[in-house]
Amino acid sequence: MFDNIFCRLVEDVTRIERRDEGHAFLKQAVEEYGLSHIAYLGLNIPRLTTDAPYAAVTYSNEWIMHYDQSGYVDIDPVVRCGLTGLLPLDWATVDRSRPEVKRLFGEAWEMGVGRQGMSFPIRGLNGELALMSINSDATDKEWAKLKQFYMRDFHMLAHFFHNTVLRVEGVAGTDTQTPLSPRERQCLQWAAAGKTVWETAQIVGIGEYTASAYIKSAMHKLNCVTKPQAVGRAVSLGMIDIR
Amino acid sequence: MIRQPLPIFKPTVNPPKTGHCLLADCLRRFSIAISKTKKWGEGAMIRLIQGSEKARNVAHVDQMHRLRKKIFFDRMHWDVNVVDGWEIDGFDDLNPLYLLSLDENEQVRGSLRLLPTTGPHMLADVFSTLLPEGELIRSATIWESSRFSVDLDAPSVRAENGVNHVTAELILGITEVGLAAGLTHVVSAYDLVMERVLKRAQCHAERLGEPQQVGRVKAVAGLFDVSNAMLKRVRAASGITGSVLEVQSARAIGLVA
Repeated sequence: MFDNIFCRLVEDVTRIERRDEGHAFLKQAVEEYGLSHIAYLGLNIPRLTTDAPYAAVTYSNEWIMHYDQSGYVDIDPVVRCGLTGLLPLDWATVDRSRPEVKRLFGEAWEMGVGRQGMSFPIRGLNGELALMSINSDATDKEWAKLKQFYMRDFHMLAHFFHNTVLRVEGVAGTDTQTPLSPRERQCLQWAAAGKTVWETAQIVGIGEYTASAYIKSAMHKLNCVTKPQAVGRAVSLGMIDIR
Repeated sequence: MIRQPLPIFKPTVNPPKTGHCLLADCLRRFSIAISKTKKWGEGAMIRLIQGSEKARNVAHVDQMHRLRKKIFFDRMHWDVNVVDGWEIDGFDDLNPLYLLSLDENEQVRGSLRLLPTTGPHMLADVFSTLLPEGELIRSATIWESSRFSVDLDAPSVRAENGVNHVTAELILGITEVGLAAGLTHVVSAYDLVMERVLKRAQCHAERLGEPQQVGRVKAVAGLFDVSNAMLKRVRAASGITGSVLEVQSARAIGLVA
């Protein structure tokens, strides 16, 4: 449903060099996806979040200040999800029985955060933790339909934006700059030559799922979501050749 | 198809005095006995526990760590860490997603944990020798399964091909969670015995590297696809139909409206 938007945004996210570009990117994604807000919160990133979480959000300054002054980061169950969960969290499933949580969500609603929300925990190489949340004003019925598309796209976008933050803030570990491994390069090279995953597996002498996994791994390193995209980026970075 | 034997009907200590009451009582108890006969998969379920839910599942987490100690330390003599009767390691501190197989009495009969390959995990940080030189798979859509444990002492139900019900449940649990979370593959390090078990369960794993000696055992890194095809195969092989997830857990991952 959002395929074109997704592919384009994935391209754009890797071109971000500065913080303000990152913020512009989030605003662009909000508009293209018909969301109300997107928020990225870095929670446990070495050298970046030593004093406070790192936030790149589209929320109003009013909400940001209120959230900060109320100390909500300490009781927000969504933040807790980012710190301890692996699975995407639909805000509708959050237990709001505690009065302070009820107040938090009530105020968020009043300040225009959005009727619906979904958060995607991010785990990084060295134990980094981060969270990307999206908000929407869709009705419950619309949300039920849109959810699966948002989940599919933001599961990946969250990780790519996270890598971008690390890069822009200069705290990326050496691993994010690592070249492709021998197998990753091999499998991507054969993909560039137009071979299917099955054919690649036969040629290289590995299993089909294995070839697929190495390609996925290469895609992750290159911050790409489709094979053609990964091939294109690998070629432009000189990692593989077009035969 | 294997069926559980019917429980043996035993008369009560104080049987009713009159004839027709005795018959009614017999029929009542017989019908209870029938309803207690376990149909395949009935009563056993997979519960998902994420980091923040550990506090609400203290007893089950305790049982899980004790089961892991029984299997990996007591039985298999693996080089694992035991603290106060629990087998526990640094990866448990990373808030993995735990899958617990509970029997009809809510006792833990099996468990495993999932970690994303984008972060620290066993194949990257402990078992890298199981992967070819210089290779490591990392992707947001590929998670690792580890500490796959099944209590073989518990009364078990097995399919015709010998696959333990709990084993099949756990594999199906991973697949259902994976499909809901948009995963494409699962990786895991296991010994050659486990490899055979997975094969029998129609799990179709591919070896990522050659088996290597790791401590006492020969271990191998395996890779599975997360797909509806996998779901169908393992369900057919085990005789389990339908979801293995507890309702609350299914709801938590958006599978139930």
